[in-house]
Amino acid sequence: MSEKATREAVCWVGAESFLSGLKRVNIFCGGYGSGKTEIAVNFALHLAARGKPVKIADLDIVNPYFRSREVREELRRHGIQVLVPNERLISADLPIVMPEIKGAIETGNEAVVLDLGGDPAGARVMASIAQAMPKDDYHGFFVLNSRRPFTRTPAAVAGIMSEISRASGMAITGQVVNSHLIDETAVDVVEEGFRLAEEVSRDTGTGIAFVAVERSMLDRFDAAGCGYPVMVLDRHMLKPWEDSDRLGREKFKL
Amino acid sequence: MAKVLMKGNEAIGEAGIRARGLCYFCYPITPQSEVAEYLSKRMPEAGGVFLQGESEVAVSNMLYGAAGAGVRCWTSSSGPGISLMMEALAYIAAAELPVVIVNIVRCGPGLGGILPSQSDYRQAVKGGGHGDYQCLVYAPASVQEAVDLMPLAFDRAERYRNPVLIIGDGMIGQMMEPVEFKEHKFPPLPPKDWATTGCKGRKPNVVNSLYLDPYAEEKLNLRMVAKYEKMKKEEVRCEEYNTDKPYQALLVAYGTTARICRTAIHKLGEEGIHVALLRPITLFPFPRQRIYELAQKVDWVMSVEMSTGQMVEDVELSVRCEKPVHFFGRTGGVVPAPEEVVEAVKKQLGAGKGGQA
Repeated sequence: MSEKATREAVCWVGAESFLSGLKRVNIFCGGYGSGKTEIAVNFALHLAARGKPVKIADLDIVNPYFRSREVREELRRHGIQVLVPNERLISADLPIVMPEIKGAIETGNEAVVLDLGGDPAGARVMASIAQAMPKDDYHGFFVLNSRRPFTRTPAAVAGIMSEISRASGMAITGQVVNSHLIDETAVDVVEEGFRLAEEVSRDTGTGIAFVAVERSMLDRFDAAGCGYPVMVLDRHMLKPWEDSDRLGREKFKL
Repeated sequence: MAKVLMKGNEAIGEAGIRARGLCYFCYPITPQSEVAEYLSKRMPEAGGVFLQGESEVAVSNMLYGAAGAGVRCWTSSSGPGISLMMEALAYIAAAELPVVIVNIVRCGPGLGGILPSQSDYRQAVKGGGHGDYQCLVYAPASVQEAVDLMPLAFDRAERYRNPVLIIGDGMIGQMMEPVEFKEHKFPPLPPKDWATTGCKGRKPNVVNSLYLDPYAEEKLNLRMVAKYEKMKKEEVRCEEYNTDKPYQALLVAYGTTARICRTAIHKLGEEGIHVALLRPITLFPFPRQRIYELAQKVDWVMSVEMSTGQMVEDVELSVRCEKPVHFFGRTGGVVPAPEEVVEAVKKQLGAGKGGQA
């Protein structure tokens, strides 16, 4: 295998103990626009790449665009079962919660990945299925981007975290540090993300589960040395003019 | 200030506050509702007024009243909501009041759908409401540009005493991009000595759009025309891409469609086909002169849109009908892929060769 191909295959760095402690149900919540969908899609694909049967459910009832359902075909190609509303309603902004989602949580051997909508408003949908949650067999991941305007300070993050926990009726078991500015992410933006998450961890007791870093950052960011499990992220939620082979930002700068 | 990652709608809300647009009336509609949601949190912090009306008809008439009282005010909505505001917009234009209206365009007509579109071009540029009036119309292509155009829109609305529209397709409202909020400096604005601020010690000011005397109405119409002529001279904004080297075709596209065209142009360049792009930033006034100049070097021009070709006539007028203006677009909420633009350009270049042979 070429060096490039090997590098592309890397999904996790320094994450052995995290991966051995995985739970069957994995819920991604967080502030609005924190990157839950991209994280959930990558997490599901990475699980599938490890040979696990995976189901992903799009529970985003607050966003009209850029939802995980938009990449459903790609997910299915990787053998992932995608629970999304009927095709006829796929572009509707209706709060549809499929009964199959509750079923997937209650029973089955597949790993389940749930992509919630943002903020307490988006997480509220969980309350309808929280009863079905297998006790102690789920992770409630809180996705955090320190460059989002409403999650810039530890107090603000802790506030949203507790509101989401209350609205959804589930426990938040770990933070996912996802500090980025899309194509303008510098290493210090990622590091600023840890520092914020560490302060939140001190204040709330909710530790850092893992750090998400885009693949193109690997040559600048010391993933192995950062002290946390690192999930390598490939961007799937692309804008129509963004090429999957990444032509370079300067060509598109407006 | 450090860059933050913001959804277009949120960033527009923040930019409105920073431009001292501290009076915002709204009625929610997808794909624009996040402007209202953001401002419902931020406006009280900023000491401004956030008010959700019972309909867009109410909202637009609140704007009429607030602007008449000299308050910097604005709203945002999408197609069906904007249509409901058109009556008040005509009154606002007639009363020569400064108002900023943001339209995050969804597909239509009718209720249409919630997906992105540019199908409100004619409504924005050719009137929309009744009577002899025009709006100054800005069309951002990125979240940063939307943020930068907000203070300009407020400034120009007050300088011209005329409504200003900012139109962005649904993508502008929904996508997330890094933004920074820069300080914008403008020359001092003339005093609002026309506003209804209480007439103690002076002659009453009247905000009105009813003229029963035809000569008075005509005088108003001609005064408004003079403003539009001034805008045509002084307010045209556009951006060029790839025009600094020889090119075989010229595309005209605005908003995020222009970004799709850039990717297409890059792909065409890799195949040795050189194509240029003119991106209007103002849709009224339209960059006619620059399009005419750039079109001198090509056999045809192509308008690329997320509509059924609403901008084609303006491009035809720009090239003074001396050259054919072709059209490529997707509509109904379908976003054109860069590859489709590549194919459309190649097909037209091939057709040209066939014609000459």
